Amino acid sequence: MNRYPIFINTMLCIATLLLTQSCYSVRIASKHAIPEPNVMPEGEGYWRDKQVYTLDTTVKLKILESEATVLDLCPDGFHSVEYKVTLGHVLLSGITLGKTKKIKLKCNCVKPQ
Amino acid sequence: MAITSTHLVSNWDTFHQNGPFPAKMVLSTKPEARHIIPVVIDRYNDTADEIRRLIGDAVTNNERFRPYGSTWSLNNIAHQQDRMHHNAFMNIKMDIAPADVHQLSPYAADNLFFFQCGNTIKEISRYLFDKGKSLKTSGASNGQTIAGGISTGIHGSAIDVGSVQDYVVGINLITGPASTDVVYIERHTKPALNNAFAAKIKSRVIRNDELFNAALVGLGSFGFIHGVVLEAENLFLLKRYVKYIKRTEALDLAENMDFPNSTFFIPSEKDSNGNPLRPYHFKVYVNPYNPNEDYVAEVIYKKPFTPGYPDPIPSVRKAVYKELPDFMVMLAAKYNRVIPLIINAMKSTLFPTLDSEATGTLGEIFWDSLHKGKAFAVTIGIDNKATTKALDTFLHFVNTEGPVPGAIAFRFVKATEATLGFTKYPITCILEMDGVLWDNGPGIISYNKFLTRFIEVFQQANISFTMHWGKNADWTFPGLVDYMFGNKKNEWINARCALLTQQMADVFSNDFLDSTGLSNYNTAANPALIVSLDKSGAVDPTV
Repeated sequence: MNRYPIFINTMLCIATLLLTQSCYSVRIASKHAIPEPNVMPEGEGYWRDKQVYTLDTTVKLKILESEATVLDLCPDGFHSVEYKVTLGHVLLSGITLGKTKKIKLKCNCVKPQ
Repeated sequence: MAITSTHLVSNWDTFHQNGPFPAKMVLSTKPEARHIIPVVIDRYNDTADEIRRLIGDAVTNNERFRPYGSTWSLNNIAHQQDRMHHNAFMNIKMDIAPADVHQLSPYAADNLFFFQCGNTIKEISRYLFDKGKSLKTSGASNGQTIAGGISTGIHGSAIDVGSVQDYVVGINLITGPASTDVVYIERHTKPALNNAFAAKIKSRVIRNDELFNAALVGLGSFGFIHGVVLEAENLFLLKRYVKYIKRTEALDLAENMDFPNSTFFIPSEKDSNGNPLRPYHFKVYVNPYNPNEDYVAEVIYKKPFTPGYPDPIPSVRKAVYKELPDFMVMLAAKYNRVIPLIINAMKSTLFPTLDSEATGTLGEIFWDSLHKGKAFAVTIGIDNKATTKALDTFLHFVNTEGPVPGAIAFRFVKATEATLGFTKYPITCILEMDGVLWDNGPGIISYNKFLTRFIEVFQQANISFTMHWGKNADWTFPGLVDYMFGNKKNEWINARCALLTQQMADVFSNDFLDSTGLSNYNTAANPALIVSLDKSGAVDPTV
């Protein structure tokens, strides 16, 4: 039994997994806005004292549509938004000619005044 | 109607991860929406009704009730295991009209503002900025709620100004579930608002210096602080410099505050006679593990506000407490000899950038802090005349019984009138070590032992000191509060017992108060402490 193809396939799977998961995050925050607090601190780092909302969805655009708007988050305004892009997201968008977009973001709203 | 959400929990923790502490229930109240109750004072009173209901519910269930804000205190002072109340959404703000000001008030109406308990320092600074006003001082950052901040005595390093609580001129407390349990207190010698305003917030008035000064740094235990009246001032700018300073110069300035005759000065900050100016703020950073190294001074001067200055935020952004990576701390727990090496190597990130300058408002210079992991902070107040002795005691302690992963700084604040304000000396030198909370290991003193030994060492050196209520200490150390405050402790207890019934005093107590002996109830407290006085000190017949 030749085990070589199994090895190649395994390595290809790992490489694909790594490539599609490799990503970057960008955080955009308002300088003067007051963040909506969470009731109890959670996690570590930037988001620990902030109420976090997440969006992890796939948007499918119709033939004549070129953009999408999501209205569900932060009706009064954003304090900070962090979006993540992976190679998988880019590939999905490329393969579907930009008509299917993966959106993955984390955000904090402004504190109600 | 204000809405309260209920969260059943098993534990609760601080922002700086100093717990977790066991807890059962967290409540969080949001004032009613503006379009439902458009009149701000009605919305405020509606929230007060909801808080009274929650307190009544705690009483009915024979449970304690403790409000908290941003969870920035690094110990269990905000914690209570029965019912905790998260205040941070209670952020109503009100201007004070001239018609609301007491006729004998020393304060100008346009400098007075009423803030509900959950407003953060940043939020207040922003609100005041839009009105051309500023807080007079703040802590080193801006995330604390106003009620939490004054309850623990947050301070900056404004030499001639004081701490945040020193500019609170009125406090609205909810001391129980009844409608008569809403109280507005202020100093009788410096009345701020009139009886008509107190009636608007459905409060009975007590003007009494002794009660007010005790409640000012009330450790969350004088009832529920629903709102405070703050005295602000016209917007101003601060210009910050960071320079090396020789140890001898730093300690001479620390003990004498003689800036005009110091050999340390900022060349561009002199008066018309060429004498160095007295700064608004003076803080010195010390690497505890390199005695031969110069210290770093952060010196800030107050300037009139003029628009158009460069954005200071990029140069003042920071993460308080933690700049040391986790793996270094783990390494340090096993091999404590590496700590001085780490502190030396990381000095440029632990201390502000040398020779940097920044100009901005108070709210901009003392900017946001980011959470970077478990942190500890030990902060003591001493008379500034004792700075050298206290610093040398501290350095000797951490070098002989440590090292521990932290850096030292000292700064200065004018005396507070608050009974248990830890900035009690004419000029208090605040000597502090901030660092990374470490796990116990064979190569390092245990964290708890460090906190206990710290007190023992300073007591053995016969140094009079206080400790910051919101920072780390062995708060169970026998007789600690008596050592720090002497008879002031009893003054504080008596004022609290005069204001609160025995049942409500227990409802507003917690482990921290129990362990410090401050929850003791004196049934013989003088009822005169809650009598409203006129400006001369006689019983006020108008109340």
